[in-house]
Amino acid sequence: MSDTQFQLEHSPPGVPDGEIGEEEVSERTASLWADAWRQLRSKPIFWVSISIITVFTVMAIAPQIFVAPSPATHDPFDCSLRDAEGEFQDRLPPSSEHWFGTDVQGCDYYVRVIYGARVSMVVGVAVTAIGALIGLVLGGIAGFWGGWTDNVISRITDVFFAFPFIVGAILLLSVIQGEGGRTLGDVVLVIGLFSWPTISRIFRGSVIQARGQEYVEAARALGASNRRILVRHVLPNAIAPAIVYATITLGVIISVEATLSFLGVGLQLPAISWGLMINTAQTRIAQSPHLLFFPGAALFLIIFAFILLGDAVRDALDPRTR
Amino acid sequence: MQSTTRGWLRWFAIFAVLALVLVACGDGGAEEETTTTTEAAAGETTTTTAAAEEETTTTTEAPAAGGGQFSTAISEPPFIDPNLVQDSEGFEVARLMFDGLTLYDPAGGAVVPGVAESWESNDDKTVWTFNLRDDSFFTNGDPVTAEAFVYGISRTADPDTGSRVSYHVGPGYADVLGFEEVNGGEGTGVSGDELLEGLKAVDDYTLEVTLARSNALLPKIVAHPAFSPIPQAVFEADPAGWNEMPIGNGPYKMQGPWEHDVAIFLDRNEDYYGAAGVADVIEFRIYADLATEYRDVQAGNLDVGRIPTEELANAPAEFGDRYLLISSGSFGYIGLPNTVAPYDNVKLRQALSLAIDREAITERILIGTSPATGFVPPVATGAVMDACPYCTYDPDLAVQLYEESGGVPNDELVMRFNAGSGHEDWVEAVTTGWSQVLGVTATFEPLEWAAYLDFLFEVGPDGPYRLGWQWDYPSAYNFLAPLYESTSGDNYSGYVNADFDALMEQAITSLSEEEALPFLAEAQAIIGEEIPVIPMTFGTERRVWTENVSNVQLNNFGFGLWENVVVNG
Amino acid sequence: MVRYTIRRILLIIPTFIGASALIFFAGFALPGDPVSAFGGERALPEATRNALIERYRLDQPVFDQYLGYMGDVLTGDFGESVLRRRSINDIFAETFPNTLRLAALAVVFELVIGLLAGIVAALRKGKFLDSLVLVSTIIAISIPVFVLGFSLQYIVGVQWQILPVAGLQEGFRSLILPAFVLGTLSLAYVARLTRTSLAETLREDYVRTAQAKGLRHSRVIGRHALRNALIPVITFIGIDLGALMGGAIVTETIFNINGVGFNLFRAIGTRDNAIVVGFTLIAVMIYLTMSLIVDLLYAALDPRIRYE
Repeated sequence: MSDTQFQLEHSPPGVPDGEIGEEEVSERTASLWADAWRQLRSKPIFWVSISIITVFTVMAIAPQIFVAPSPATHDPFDCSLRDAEGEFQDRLPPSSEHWFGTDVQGCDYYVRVIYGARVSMVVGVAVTAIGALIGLVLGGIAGFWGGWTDNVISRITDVFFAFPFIVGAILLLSVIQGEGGRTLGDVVLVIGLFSWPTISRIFRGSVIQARGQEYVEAARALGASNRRILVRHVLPNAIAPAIVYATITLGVIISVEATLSFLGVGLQLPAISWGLMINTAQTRIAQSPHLLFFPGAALFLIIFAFILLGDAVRDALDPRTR
Repeated sequence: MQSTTRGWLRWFAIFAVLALVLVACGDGGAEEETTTTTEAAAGETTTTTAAAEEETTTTTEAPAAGGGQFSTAISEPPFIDPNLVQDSEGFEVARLMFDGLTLYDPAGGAVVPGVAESWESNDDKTVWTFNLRDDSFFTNGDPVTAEAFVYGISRTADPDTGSRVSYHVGPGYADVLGFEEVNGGEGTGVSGDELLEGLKAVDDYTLEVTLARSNALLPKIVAHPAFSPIPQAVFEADPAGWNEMPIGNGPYKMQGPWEHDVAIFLDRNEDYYGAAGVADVIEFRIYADLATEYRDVQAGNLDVGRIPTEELANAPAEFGDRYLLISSGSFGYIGLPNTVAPYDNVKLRQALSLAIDREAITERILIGTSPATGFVPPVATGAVMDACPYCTYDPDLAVQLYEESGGVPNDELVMRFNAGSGHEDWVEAVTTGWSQVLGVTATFEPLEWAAYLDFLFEVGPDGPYRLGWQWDYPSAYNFLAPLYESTSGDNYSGYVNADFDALMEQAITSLSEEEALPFLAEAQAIIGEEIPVIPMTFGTERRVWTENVSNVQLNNFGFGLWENVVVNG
Repeated sequence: MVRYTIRRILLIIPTFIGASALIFFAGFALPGDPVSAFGGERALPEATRNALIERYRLDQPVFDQYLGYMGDVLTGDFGESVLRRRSINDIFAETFPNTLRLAALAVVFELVIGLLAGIVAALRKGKFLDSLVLVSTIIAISIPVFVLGFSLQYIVGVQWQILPVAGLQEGFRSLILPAFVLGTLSLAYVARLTRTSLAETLREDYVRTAQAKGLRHSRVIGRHALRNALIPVITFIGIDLGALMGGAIVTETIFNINGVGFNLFRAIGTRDNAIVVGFTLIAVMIYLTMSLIVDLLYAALDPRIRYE
């Protein structure tokens, strides 16, 4: 619940007030993004986070590249408690043969950690996409049309807000479990279902703010259609806070997946996930600290990179924090 | 603006103070609690101390014979009411508070007199007479009479009690006459109002038990807490409060109501008829997690504790002579649906069993358990050593038998088990072994508890699954009849063998346990060849303890003999 | 203000109904049923099973069960656990004080460390201390709670042995470590929120005016800037406390604290429906009440909200 909360610091970037006519809007928007990009480019933090994310993305797509130089097996499921001579192969410390050591089953830990990136990245990206999609659609509708629509959507959002996230996720995941095993898709779907309310609320707020601007009023007076106003004027100005939030969320979602797996309600063995590895490693920290260290460090790095990136993007998009 | 900000600052201050007060209050509450419990203890016995820190100093003055207080650990049991106690945690507590007709002998698989000084039966073992001693009292002062046993045992069988252990009184176990009428009946809505026909209080201290079927093992069976005497008046005065603080007749009694998820404090029962407990106060501290429990022993905050699997390898070295390992009466196995193809093929079952490296698994993962070499743990009377010829690791023979059996469809199989109970690691090792030795694709699927039960009872297994068996009383019969007799409700593998069934019938109707032994041995030979389930492990129990206590012992059930633990000065 | 208050309270009703229905039906959609979960690896005798099913109204249609249950809830009765045969109210009453103490201490950590770090960062904006606060808060946010909890438990409790490993036996001392772990994430948010908010306020005209008038620096910050800057921070902490009081599953589980979250998690594992539904419902009620209080305070102090 609260110890894996979604609450994040977010201050919607204010769109500077000013006397701007319709014809100036797209130009103004463009310059906002151009400004942001210029700002981002100059920041080493941005490049650091982007590099880490790139490395993990490649790792998720083509783990073979990373495991190729390893002298041990390249198959994460090729494990054995004993080798041909009958010597035990489990929980070996890191060595030149097994770079990250071996795990409880005698699997090469380096290969396992590399293959673990896929779950985290897929969950992070897919959940954020689902959450952003639901959140943007609902928040946009509520904010733009207002009135009864807004009321109904806001009440639904309230329900999900009031619902303790972890409990909701655990309950739903147990339901799915009944149908025979939890898949990656199930986990993504359930976390996604609970990750949209904040984005919806933020987007609703900034749409309302953008809608109230003089240039939108002007466009309406000039007879622009709802769709044109929404697409041309409101969206480009309102989306920035949602993007900032989504980037940071990506990191948080990865942490949530690991937490659910750690609690035994997320992915299940034989899936390869850092959360599961830490679950297995947690009580073995004294004898085999490498079992906790490598997946823990990987998990920390990727979450760190996304949150760092979100921070940099926020700074770039929100002039007030400069 | 000014007033606004001032208002906020005030709210902020109130908020902060409130938070601090909450913390402080709560803390005070905790202190109060500890004080009351220790005060209560001091009221009972002079040696108990007023505060935890002073404990060590005062206990040095305690007589060498005993005294003092120590803590041991359990997980939160659902019940400590002996008629309902269903797990080892509740059993540990109930065993100290209630003495039944007979008691388990800590040394072996026998029973010794409890409240019943002696017992005899008619020739066909259907009518048993228990002669009760007249000096056993409930801790409220009421005498323990035959009526209390009639009431207590009937209450276990009453469906309104909703007891999970009522089967102890029924067929396959004690099988007291009239069980079906009460347990299978409609119920009245009131627990304990229907008495079993087969139970009769001849006089205050003579109990006559009539069985529906001959049973030579009855004295062993009735040592279970399900057969405890219950003071009817106490229970009926407050049925809802009974499980919070039951009144018994054992060597220890409750100090105060059960503090759920915190602790259960037991005081020595000074009026106990038997050998008095050594320590004045036993604290059963309640843990949810073995790792935390173990760390508390390491840190010296808990006197006796269990060991999580992951620490099993290190514990003997770390604790030296403050480490105890015993074999217990539990049996872990991989079940197979004997009536479902291809598992109805004996050769396939043999092949799967031969492809498991039990020694590697027990040495590296289930550290401390012994690899099963038969179907009955050696500590049970009547166990045959090496009763399972296919429980060795023999990859070549496994492959040969697998080929001969025709194998599993598509060479794919999935093993299922209940998730989150520490089975993941060894199941993974087993399936990896099957994959590598037999060249199949063996995977596994952990199911949540409820889903797993559904899978076992409703859906019915279609492949290998995990189960375990913990004995109800120390006899091989209890490992054989329930699991493989065709009529047993616990025979999930669906194994049917008329010869085996006949041997079970002969065993239970034997006139003594000794006479039953040949039948039990023959039965083990049959299943050893047919391998209805794949034996995996024989259980062990371990404890570690701090220098604060000594003489820590465990019985064959794996329960601590807490009444014997000495608190060191 | 009265109209706003009434409107705000009325808004809670549909939220509560929606959330309770969601919890109840999700609770009942779980596979198996609590009575067979109680039976365990040996199936219960039919008569015992029926007696229990009748006793817990499990033979009624789910919707009737929901209505019956909500009727009981309105009279303050949250039901009884099938597995433990105990009243949910009793179990909650036992566990809530522990959760409350833990949450309160976590908030104290958030307030003391979070605020201080945020203020320092805002005043030294762009300097070393600011960067230090920014980086360390990002690091704090990036470590999953269970990794942090377990590592600290091992290092502080087992290796150094300066604080209890788990449980609540040592009163206040037992709470320090779990409260710190529980508060870390929010602490980082509080620090960042304070930093942003205070830095922004420091640029406001009235603060600059005050400085221009020659008021002492500390006075400007203390009397003028900080007061306004703290509004969003206090809002955050208020809502956070509401969420924390609903229990902290991970922290309470790791540190073996008999609180609301700990019991909730165990109940989900054992499929103890009544506890899951009852506890979640109470947690939701607490959260809604806290948000209501925060919103009303906010509205009382910032008139613009009321007329939104």
